[in-house]
Amino acid sequence: MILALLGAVGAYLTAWAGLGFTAEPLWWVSLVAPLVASLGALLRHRGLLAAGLYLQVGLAAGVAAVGERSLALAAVALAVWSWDMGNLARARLRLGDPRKVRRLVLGAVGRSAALALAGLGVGLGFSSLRVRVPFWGVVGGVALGWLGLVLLLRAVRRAYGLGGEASGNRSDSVGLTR
Amino acid sequence: MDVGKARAELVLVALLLGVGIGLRMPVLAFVALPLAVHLLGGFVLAAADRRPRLLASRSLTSSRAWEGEELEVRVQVTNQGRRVELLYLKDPVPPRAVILEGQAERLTDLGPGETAALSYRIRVRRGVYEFRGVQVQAYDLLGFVGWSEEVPCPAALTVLPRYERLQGVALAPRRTLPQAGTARSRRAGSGVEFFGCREYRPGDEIRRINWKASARSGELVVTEYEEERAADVAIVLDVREAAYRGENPLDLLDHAVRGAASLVEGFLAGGNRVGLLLYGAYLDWVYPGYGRRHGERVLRRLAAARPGRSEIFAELRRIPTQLLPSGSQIAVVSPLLPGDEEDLGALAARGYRVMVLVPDVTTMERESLGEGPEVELAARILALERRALLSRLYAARVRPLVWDVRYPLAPQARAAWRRVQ
Repeated sequence: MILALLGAVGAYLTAWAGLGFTAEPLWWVSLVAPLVASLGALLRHRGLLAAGLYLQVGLAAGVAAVGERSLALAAVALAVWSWDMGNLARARLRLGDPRKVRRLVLGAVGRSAALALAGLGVGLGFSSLRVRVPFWGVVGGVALGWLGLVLLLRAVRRAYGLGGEASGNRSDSVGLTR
Repeated sequence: MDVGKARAELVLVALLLGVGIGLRMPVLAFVALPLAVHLLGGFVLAAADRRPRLLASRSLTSSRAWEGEELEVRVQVTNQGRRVELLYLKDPVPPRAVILEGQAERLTDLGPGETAALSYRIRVRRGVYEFRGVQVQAYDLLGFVGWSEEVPCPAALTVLPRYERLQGVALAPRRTLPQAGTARSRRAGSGVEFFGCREYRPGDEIRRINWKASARSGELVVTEYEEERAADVAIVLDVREAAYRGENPLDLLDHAVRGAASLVEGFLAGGNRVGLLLYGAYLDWVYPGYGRRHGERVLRRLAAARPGRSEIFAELRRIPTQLLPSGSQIAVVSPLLPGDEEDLGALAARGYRVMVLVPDVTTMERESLGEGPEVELAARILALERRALLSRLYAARVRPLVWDVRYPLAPQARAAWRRVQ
């Protein structure tokens, strides 16, 4: 939970830095983004966490449009990391063996950080490329990417079975009732 | 399968790409890149090392227990598939059971072939419980793909009501059975209760000669004793929801069930033929029988008793007397509702000997209500109502026994039956 809060605050500060720490009165409205994300982390509420991510990414998109692009990408990476940590806090960690839980949390933090950094790297790499792509090329690329994601989702869904059941997961054990 | 997190990210990526392309702002598409990488990477890692194939088994200390007894439940879940990174296990505990030690839920990871166990001790209340399975939720570390199911590991548990040993149960039915028992048969024979005197007949035992009466009358007189025989006894347990009021109606029903179980065991111990009728929400019965196996059968039926509401069985006058041999003893266990005394009187008028065991709801509730003039006044009004009800029962030739459930039944029953005798 603390990590999620740190991530939300970090994303906000990074986005603010992207605008040169502006003191425009309208800027303070953007405080709602970290507030919602923090509330989601504190209350362990899935909907608020998602709303917080949407608001923070929206804020970063706005910063990217008018301010420093690399800092906006960093803000997105931090928001995504915060979102992961918030979701991790929703798992019932207190029910686990403390040593195992510490190992799980470290694994999750590491994996999330690696993915966020990879995303940041890809974002920065693509934004530094100076390639002229025709408009319809972009549309086609996006459509193909979208299709790929949907196919991947469907494949995973099929692999785990439909209706919340995993194949081959039926136990014929009647238990060891004595 | 739960892919809520992945879906939320996918929608956000699509939104950014759509708006970016629509407004010809490639910078928005760049903002979507970290998200897309996170989503793809997370999904690939989740799919690569997670395919839960679990097998569960359960063991109980015993499948039959007495209420209030402690039981140990152990559930083992074995992973027969690939590694599960986050596994949440929860075993649904029977209603009204209290966990004394251990936990019925756990979070862990589970490698291939590894086993996770849930072990806990519970104290159970009366009832028949069906353990079905253990609830399982499996996630990857970042929660992109979640999966939840109930892995079956069934077991049955019957928690029988506790009972007290009642002695000196006074039975005086109109009709008795040929076997020896404890019911007064109103005929001379072998027994211990004085029945009368008659003139000596050849063949009478010498030790039965009443010498004092013989001296007074001038001819030999023998003493006769009342023969004690077995009787048909029907225990009627009232399970009408309306009869069980107050803050803890189920506690009151538990007391009533304990009372019924004590009567069943007491009558069976006296050699009587005992049947059971659960009356109210539904109609359920056990045909009259003898012995310990029959007693176990009746206790199991009592364990499953639960209150309910029924239009058909809303009044005691609708007790199906076809199930009860005429002239037999009926023992009704009920907190009673206004008007029940008339129905019980009607049973007595039909030739049944009726006794009613009334678990007293007012004494049970009194402690939880605290002190105060209003409580005192309410208690007095209820006591007066109770007294009026009892006098109406006596007038209807029904023998009531009011049970103050704060104390054991046996001494109260013994005192009441001694008064009757």
